[in-house]
Amino acid sequence: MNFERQVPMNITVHYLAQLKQAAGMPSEVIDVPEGCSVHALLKQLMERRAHTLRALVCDSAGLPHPALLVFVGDDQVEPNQVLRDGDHVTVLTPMAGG
Amino acid sequence: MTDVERAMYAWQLDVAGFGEEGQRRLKQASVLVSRCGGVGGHLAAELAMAGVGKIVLAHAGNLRLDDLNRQVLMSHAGLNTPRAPQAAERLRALNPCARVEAVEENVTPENVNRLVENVDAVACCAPLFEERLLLNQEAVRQKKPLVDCAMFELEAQLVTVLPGKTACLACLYPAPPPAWQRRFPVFGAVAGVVGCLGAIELIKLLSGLALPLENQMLLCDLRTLAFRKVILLRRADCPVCGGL
Ligand SMILES: [Zn+2]
Repeated sequence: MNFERQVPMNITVHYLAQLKQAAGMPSEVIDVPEGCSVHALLKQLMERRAHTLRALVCDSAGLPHPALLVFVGDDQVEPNQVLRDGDHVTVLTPMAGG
Repeated sequence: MTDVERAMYAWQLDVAGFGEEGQRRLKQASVLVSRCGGVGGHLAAELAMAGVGKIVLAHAGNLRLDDLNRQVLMSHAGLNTPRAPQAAERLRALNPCARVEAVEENVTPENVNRLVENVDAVACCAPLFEERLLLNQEAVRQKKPLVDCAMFELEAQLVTVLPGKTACLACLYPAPPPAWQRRFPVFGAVAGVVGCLGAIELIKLLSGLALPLENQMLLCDLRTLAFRKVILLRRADCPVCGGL
């Protein structure tokens, strides 16, 4: 048996700008399975907060929008980046307000 | 430099690493400010007072009452009249040495080439991604630096694009982001913070005073006063800057 696959990781997700407003909170801690990618985390967020975040996070195909900016720690990452237990992930829908 | 200029800029001439050479460079420089509303208005005021030689303001439309919580170059007396000329007039009053051009148009595919061609650097302060991405594309094509300033509610972000050297806006946003609305919640003071930060980036770039942001985004949360720099990815396959 492979118990490792069952071990959840704690990821702290920080929301910025419109996402923070929509989520109604600046951050939350989420359990994800080991080996979870940024893409999988975003899909999980879309499902978990379907009513509030989905319109901001999703593209027309129902996938995480390519214009979302995602940072692990202070580094921007690609969707295929694999997360590690304890990571702090910042998600930002870009701003255009002038 | 004239005696009047030396007196007018006396306090900034004492800034370490700036001096008369920095001031001369600013005087020779020109900046396009795309929209002179909240962010662009504060930014343009700082550039004019600092002695940037030429400032081109591109902004269409008439001033509305609900602009006046943040558009610092405008006034109640100018309601229902074109924004760009009154902003230009205010800049000339702040610094008669500044050459200020008012263009009563927003950036479009038709005018972007000409607008960028006539300046050394671009300040991107428009409220729509389409305009920002268009300006980014043209600035990268003409290899001119672009400072992107944006705000939402009590948050602000700042990115400096150095074509061929740093990520551009198309690296960050391969498509216009979802659900951005023309009207958004904000205070004028937030516009002031990000406009002044953008002006500092331009002053550094144009005078050589210090290094601007390179492949970084400054994120400001004015609710908590947390300022943070994050590191950006430049995309090798970016359709705008990938070939540079
Ligand atoms: Zn690019």
